[in-house]
This record gives sequence, structure tokens and C-alpha cells, in this order.
Amino acid sequence: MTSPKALVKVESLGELEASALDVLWAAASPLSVRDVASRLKRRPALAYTTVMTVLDRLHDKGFVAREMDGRAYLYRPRIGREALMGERAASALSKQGPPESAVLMAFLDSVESRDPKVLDHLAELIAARRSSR
Amino acid sequence: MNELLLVGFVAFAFLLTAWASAHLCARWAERLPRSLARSSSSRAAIALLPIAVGTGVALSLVSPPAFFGGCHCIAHPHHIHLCFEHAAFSWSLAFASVVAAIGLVVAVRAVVSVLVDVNETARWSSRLRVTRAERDADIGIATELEAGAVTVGLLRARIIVGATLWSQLDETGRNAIAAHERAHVARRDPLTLLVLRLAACVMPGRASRMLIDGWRRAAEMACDRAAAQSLGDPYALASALVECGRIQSLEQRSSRRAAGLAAADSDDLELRVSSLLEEPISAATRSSTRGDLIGVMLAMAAVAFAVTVLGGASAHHAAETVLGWI
Repeated sequence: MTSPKALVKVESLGELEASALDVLWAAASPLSVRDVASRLKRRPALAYTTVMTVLDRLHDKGFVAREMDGRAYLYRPRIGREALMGERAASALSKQGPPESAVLMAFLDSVESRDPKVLDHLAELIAARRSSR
Repeated sequence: MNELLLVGFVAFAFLLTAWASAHLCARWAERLPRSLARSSSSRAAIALLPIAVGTGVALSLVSPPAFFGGCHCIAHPHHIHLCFEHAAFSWSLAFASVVAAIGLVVAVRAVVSVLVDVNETARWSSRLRVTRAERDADIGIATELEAGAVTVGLLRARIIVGATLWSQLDETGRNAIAAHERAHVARRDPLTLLVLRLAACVMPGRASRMLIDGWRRAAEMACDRAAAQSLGDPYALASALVECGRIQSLEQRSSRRAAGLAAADSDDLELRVSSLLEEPISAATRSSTRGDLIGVMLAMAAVAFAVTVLGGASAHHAAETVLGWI
């Protein structure tokens, strides 16, 4: 099991995705969508297509690998539980941004959240100018 | 010993003049006409002007006799003289030297602080897990930099864009940000920022912040114009700016604002967007690093020459007279 560095966005893991990943970690061998759906303890039970979408997303994000077995995919985790925790911790630590007095040029630095109305107004202004060009 | 006191007095004059002129320059910069206010070269020249004025005044205090027919100390025996040939002990010179020593200690500490910031910035950027963008090999994508894009590195500047921002933009928006940051690289803006911050070490805090913030804002707008011109589409960059602001707003994570790192608040965002929408793109808006540099050097040289040579004799005699009274 490898840690797919650049591919994994640890912060983008949703609740269902985390549950599906838990099931795959607990299993000794790769699982099909139906296997994962049956092991996810949810009430009401999740639809087959929902679980398939969740596993598809996990695959796209690089968390799981899959291989064709007959007409169905079998999924296995690409990243270990510990490795994921480490990635999350590292990500949380490094999300503090550059040092306070960093010697760099920032595209747009933020001090506090901006007024959404101002942003909407600017977006409308740009759209209006673009369309009138 | 007496020569050392004279050197101390020169340092005192330099610090005092730079400190006072920084105040004046900061106020003056607020009243600049729009064309000058948005010119990064003008802003850089104004930010460095206190150094030029301080150097000019310090030199003028000890050099005019050499320029204007030699030493006149013999003809003016009634007060002390600021020339190295006839340096004499004076309590006023000693006092100025002590003040200068304190000022220099403060300035050296500020310089060390800037160098520490440079080191920390380099360490921070090296810790980022950066992957190359698919089509733009010079753009690094970092998940840790959520909604930002930075140009970092003094001699070999790198462009790093936050993964969230990059993924939220379409290709046009990505090209706009890439063009903006490439303009920073071409202009060597991180290096200029370092020079300005080092120069600011002998200036009062508030004035230096105002001067550096002013330059940074003008530099961002210069890069906006350069990006708009290279793309032929100012709206793409304006949209990318708004999108960046929107993501930052959603995250509601306060970032950094400090002496060296100016921040773009809502007013800045509006100013930059409206500037992109209002100003026509023309060849005249192209940012020229070499032109900027030559302009700044010429302005500095002109000021130093004017203060040292043209006003030197008056400043020299005035300082001697004042010291004599003391």
C-alpha cells in the first residue's frame, strides 16, 4: 500500500467516502461495490449506485485503486489509515500559510472575509463589461 | 577619536534626515496624482528617497569645503568644524554619536529581522508539497495554499498557486493568474521588496509600512496590467481576482498582515478590478523593469547630487553654526 503523495487531497474526504474507506481498510481483500454497500452499516441502506459513485470519487481522488474482475470493479485502498492521518496532520499544520512577514508577492492577500455583496457586484460589473465589449 | 565623533555625527545626520524625510515621503505619497500613484517605479523611488536624502545630507555636512575651494576652517575660528582635517572634540558631536550608535543598533536589529523573514519564507516555501501544473511547467500547485497564489524567491522566483483556486478556475482564469505571477517574476518583485524592506530599516515603522504598502499595491496593479495585455483580455484577470476573493471569503481564514506583507482588503480588490475594467490596454501600460530601475536610479542620483553639491555649502555651514550655538 503506497502513499500517493501529490494525488491525495486529504481535506476533501467526505463522510460517506471516509466510511467506505473504513470498510476497505477493514477488509482483507479487494471488495466490489456490492460488498462495500453491504458492509456499510447505514439505515436506510445506501443505494448501490450511491456507493458506486462514492467509490468512483475515491478512485478519482487517488485514495483507492480498482481492477476489473469479470464485469465489476474490485476496490482496494491505496493509502493506509495511519498514512492518511499523517497527511491530514501535516496538511493542517502547513495550512497556516506563509510566515507573517514573508518576503513574497501574494496575488490577493486576505485579512478577513469580504462582503459577498461587494464580490457579487464586481462579478456583475465584469459580466456587464464583457457582454458590452 | 575626534574623527570617530565626526563619523558618528555623519551617521546621526543620515538617520535623522532619513527618518524625517520618510515621514514627509509617506505623506507625499498619499497625495500623488493617479498616474504616479499607480506607477510602481514612482512608488519605489519615493520609498527609497529618504535613503538618498539622508546620504546626500550626511555627505554634504563633511564634503562642501573640498568642493568649494578647500577648507575654510581658518577663516571661521568661532565655531566647530565638520571637516576631517580639523576635527575637534565637542559634546554635541559626542551626544550625536551616542544617539547614532543607538539608532544604528536598532537599524541593524531591523536588518537582521528582515533577513530572518527571508530565511523563514524560503523554509516555508520549501516545505510546501508542490506538484507541477499540467500545461504550465513553471507553475507549482500546492494544496496547503488554499486560495492564494504567490511569487516567492529572490534570485530564482517560483510561482505557487493554491490547489483550490487552481481547480476552481477555468483555463482562461488560470492563464490570467499565471500571466500575473509571471509578470512578478519578470520584474523581480520579491527582490525589489527585499531592497525596500532593507531600506525601511532606518525609517520609522508607520511611514515605512505606508511606503512599502504603496509600492506593493502599485506593483500588483502593474502586474495586472501586464497580464491583461499579454492575454488581451482584462476581464479574465478581473474574474480571477473576484474568484480568489470569494474563496478566501468562504474560508474565512484570516491571513497575514505585517510590515513586509501588505494586504489587499476589499478596497484594494475593488480598486484593482475597476482599474482593469476602466483602463484601456495599450503598449504604454507594459511594465518595463529596466525602465523602472533606470528611473529609480536617476531620481536617486539627482536627489543625492542636488542635496550634496548644490545645497551642500548651506547645509554644511548651517550645521556648523547650530553646533557652535549648542
